[in-house]
Amino acid sequence: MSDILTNALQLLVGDSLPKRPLKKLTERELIDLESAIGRELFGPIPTGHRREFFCLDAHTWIWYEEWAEAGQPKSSTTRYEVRPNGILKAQDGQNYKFIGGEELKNLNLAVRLYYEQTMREIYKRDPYTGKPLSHRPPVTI
Amino acid sequence: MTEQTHIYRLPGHDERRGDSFDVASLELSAARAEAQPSQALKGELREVRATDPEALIDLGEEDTAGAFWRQQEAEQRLLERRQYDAKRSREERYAAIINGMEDADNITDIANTTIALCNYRTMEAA
Repeated sequence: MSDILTNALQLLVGDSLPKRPLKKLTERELIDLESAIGRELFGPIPTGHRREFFCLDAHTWIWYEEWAEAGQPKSSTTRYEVRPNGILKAQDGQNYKFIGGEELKNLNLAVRLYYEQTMREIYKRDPYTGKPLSHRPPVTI
Repeated sequence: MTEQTHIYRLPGHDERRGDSFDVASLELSAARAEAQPSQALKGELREVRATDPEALIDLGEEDTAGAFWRQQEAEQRLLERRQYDAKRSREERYAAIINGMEDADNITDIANTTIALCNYRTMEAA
């Protein structure tokens, strides 16, 4: 009986029933998935480099870069803190400064691209409305 | 005609520290030498201090030669700031305002996007 009801409901609303396919993933695992998108936002990654770019929490973005120099492993972590009065940038835990102008504009662009792509590809939601993406083909007349 | 500078000494003057000032400075601040700065001046000095962290400004809490001299410096900075502002073209000022507005918009965008993303992540996570 419930199968009939489910089928009837699917016929009525299609596949747009709210689903939570990522239910079993922790926030840490979701961040790893997001970072796979984030690291590609700034173009090709040089050979031998490892890059991560992700939103850590509601106030923090992280850019991590790792590479080898003369056989020695090197790394750099840039932290962007979202504060009410500006975006504070710290490289490797020092040189705190508020960013502005072109750098702030570029960060905003990266954040928007990150949001749009993770919403579509990971959370399967429309980035503008937040509604689950429908898998139904568009209606044609 | 050449401007002549007279060097005066303040009570408690220390030659080694070079605490001296010229007659023009004395005339400028004679009215304030013993009195507290006016409320309007205090407001202006605070404004300078807010935009220039290195400004040495005393608001008249102490009445010493050092405080007097620091106040002279503050007034000089205020004067220079006014001259600089007057020289800036209208276009420059408009550009500064627009850049500031763009920065504010970018900050708001980043903050809102970050919060929205974290909300969805929390909603979807185990």
